[in-house]
Amino acid sequence: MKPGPMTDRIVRLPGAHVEPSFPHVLAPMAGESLFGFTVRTDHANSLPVGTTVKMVARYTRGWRTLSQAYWASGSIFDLVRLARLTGNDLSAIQELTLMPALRRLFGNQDVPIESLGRFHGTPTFCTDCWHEERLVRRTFLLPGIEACVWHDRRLVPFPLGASRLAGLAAAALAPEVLARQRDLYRVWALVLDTGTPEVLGAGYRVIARLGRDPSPAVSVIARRIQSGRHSAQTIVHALVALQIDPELLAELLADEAAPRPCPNQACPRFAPAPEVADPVRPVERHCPICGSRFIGQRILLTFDPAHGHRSPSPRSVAKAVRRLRRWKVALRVACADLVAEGIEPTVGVAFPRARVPMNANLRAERLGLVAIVRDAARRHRLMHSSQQEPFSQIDMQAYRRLMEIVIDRDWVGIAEWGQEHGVMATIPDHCRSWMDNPKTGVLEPLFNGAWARRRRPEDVMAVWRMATERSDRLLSEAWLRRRLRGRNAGPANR
Amino acid sequence: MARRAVHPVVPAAAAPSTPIHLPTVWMDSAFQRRFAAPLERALVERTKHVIGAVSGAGKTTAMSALARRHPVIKRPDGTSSAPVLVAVSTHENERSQSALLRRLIRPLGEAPALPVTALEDWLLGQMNELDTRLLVFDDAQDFGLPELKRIKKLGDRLQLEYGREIGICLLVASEGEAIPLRDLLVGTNNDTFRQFRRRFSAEQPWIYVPALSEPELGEVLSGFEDVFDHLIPDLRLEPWATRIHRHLCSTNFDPYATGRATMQNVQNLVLAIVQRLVGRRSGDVTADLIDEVAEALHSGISVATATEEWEAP
Repeated sequence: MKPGPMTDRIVRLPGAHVEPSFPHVLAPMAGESLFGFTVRTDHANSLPVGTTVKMVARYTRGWRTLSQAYWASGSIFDLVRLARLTGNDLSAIQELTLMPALRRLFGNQDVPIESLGRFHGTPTFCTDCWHEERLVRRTFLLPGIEACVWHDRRLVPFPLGASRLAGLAAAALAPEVLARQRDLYRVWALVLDTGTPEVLGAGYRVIARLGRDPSPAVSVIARRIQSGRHSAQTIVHALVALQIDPELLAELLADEAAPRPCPNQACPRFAPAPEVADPVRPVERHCPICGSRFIGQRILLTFDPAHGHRSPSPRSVAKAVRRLRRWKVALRVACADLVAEGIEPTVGVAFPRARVPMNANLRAERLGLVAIVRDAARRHRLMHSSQQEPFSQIDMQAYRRLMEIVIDRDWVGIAEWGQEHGVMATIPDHCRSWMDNPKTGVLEPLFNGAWARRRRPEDVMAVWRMATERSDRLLSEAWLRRRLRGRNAGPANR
Repeated sequence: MARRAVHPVVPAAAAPSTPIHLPTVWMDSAFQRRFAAPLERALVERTKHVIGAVSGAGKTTAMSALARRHPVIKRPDGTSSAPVLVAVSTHENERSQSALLRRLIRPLGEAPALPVTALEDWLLGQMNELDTRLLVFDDAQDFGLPELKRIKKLGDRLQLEYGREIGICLLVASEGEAIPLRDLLVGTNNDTFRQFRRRFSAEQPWIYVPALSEPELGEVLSGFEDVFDHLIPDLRLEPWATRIHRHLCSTNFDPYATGRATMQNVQNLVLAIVQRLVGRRSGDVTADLIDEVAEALHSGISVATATEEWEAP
């Protein structure tokens, strides 16, 4: 740019921008709740308590009586607008609710707030926390929390006016109540701060193990957990009731994190023997991967000839492999019978029926016994469940193309289409039969995903049985297997 | 006037059909400096003035520049400051009680959901907390009695309830040196207007800021040479300052015979000149070109040609 008298005094202006936030903006404090943040925003901007809530709530009446669940989930608030009004990122505002921790805990983005537990009443707060830091903690919203352990005070419900904030005096707590509240805080902190599904899993396993205890209360909790009617609150209360130290749970997690090594050299979990022997006397264990049984470094039973030890001998390994083969054949027959009888195949039902021992090492993945039961269970569910999945191999565009070819009676083109999409060789015959009677025939269910979604599995299976030719039956069976493979694996190992 | 030989170099990107837009720039012209002086003084001394300039001289630009020099600052710890609040006059159709208040709140951000009376109380409290020292109202010639009353009340209540003096500047489009609001405030025999008048600065209640003189216009033209440097590298406008000033001070462009050129007219003229130069793929400014452009701007009538027919995409 050439020099000139005005060069330094020309300012290229950006577009006019007004921050759509309140005059005074605040950053959320660590551990602050959505309720506390909105009240604090009102105070900072000299607004009547509730003004911010009214501006971001999806309805404006009765906000004072909103239950804790709404504040914990933030579901009825426009959090995007709140982020804009307070000059914060949306993620920082979302952290004011308990939903991010809950999603981390369950590993599910669509988990409802009810998975955390049962909420009662309106939000509560600690008067001392408010006077000292202007802080209403997020943890005060957690189910079961009734006191502030920082100040040993009982929480008080949100008053109906800002003027009453200052005049409230909370009652002190009895020692036993305070001790229980401290335990609740510790377990909630472990469950939420760790934020991994493994914590809940470990907690369930601990309680289920202790569920054999004759105590009725523990048995009830364990039964509730085993029946699937549980929430994070259940596990937290159960751990507190059983007086299980959270650190113990953390140790259990640490133990589970490192899998035990297997002495079988053909196993992925193989690890060489430690130089210094474990002073504790070893007990018999098994590998959940290869199914070997061992004590320390001594293998008792394995199905891998290349296990790398002197014992067991190749002869005994071959014997075990033969036995396994016999079990597999018997298990397939038993599972087919169960499916035909309409009974869901599970390990607990199919193994005894096939006279297969219920040893834990036989459930190892590499042995394939559980996989047989699982496949049969999938087949059973497909036949007896109403949920269908879209047919993924041939899309609607390809199917429409086939219909056009069929209407043109281009039989060579039909055969080429079949080769191109890898479907049965007798497709021209199917198309001819379909042209004769378009409302029946085996063509539709075998190729049309939309049709299959609309029909019940029984209908699909009926059509499958209609395929008379051997090639048709084989190809139809392959189609069914493709469908089965796409389904999610269920807990067949029950 | 010595003119150097100019070889027109027009970039290929600037095809004749490409519309040219004036980039959004702020030029520190003589008018801007003259206009900013009373505003800055009012900010420091917290005095009240009516400041007039002819329409198109750059009042709104000067007000925006003032707001940019003293921006609203919001810190994440909750402390904020807004030394200057600027507002444009409300439309006739929306002269509700809260319209002017909401215009004042606009630079601060989102207005809270409050009733009008509570909103005024809240705004006063915020002006006290944010250390607001100056209120600037643009297009104040459109203000009627309700708006002037509300502005007066804002100043009075700040002084009474918070003990704060605040500066107020009403920017008006003057008719030459005649300031419209002055006639209303001085000429009307009304107690409210008399009270309002009494609160103004004793020494300089009415300030008229003249537009660009001929030397100042030359300075601005040299600035435009820099602005359009990317389109026409050898654009020479400053030597034609006298001719351009003569055109812009004719009755066609200066109806009040102030003998000054307004920034709006300068911008329009320069933009039209540049548009024609780019269309002709030439960088040479001539007297005929300036006359032609000035005449076209004055008449405002352009003849549509066959080559400009619009085609459906």
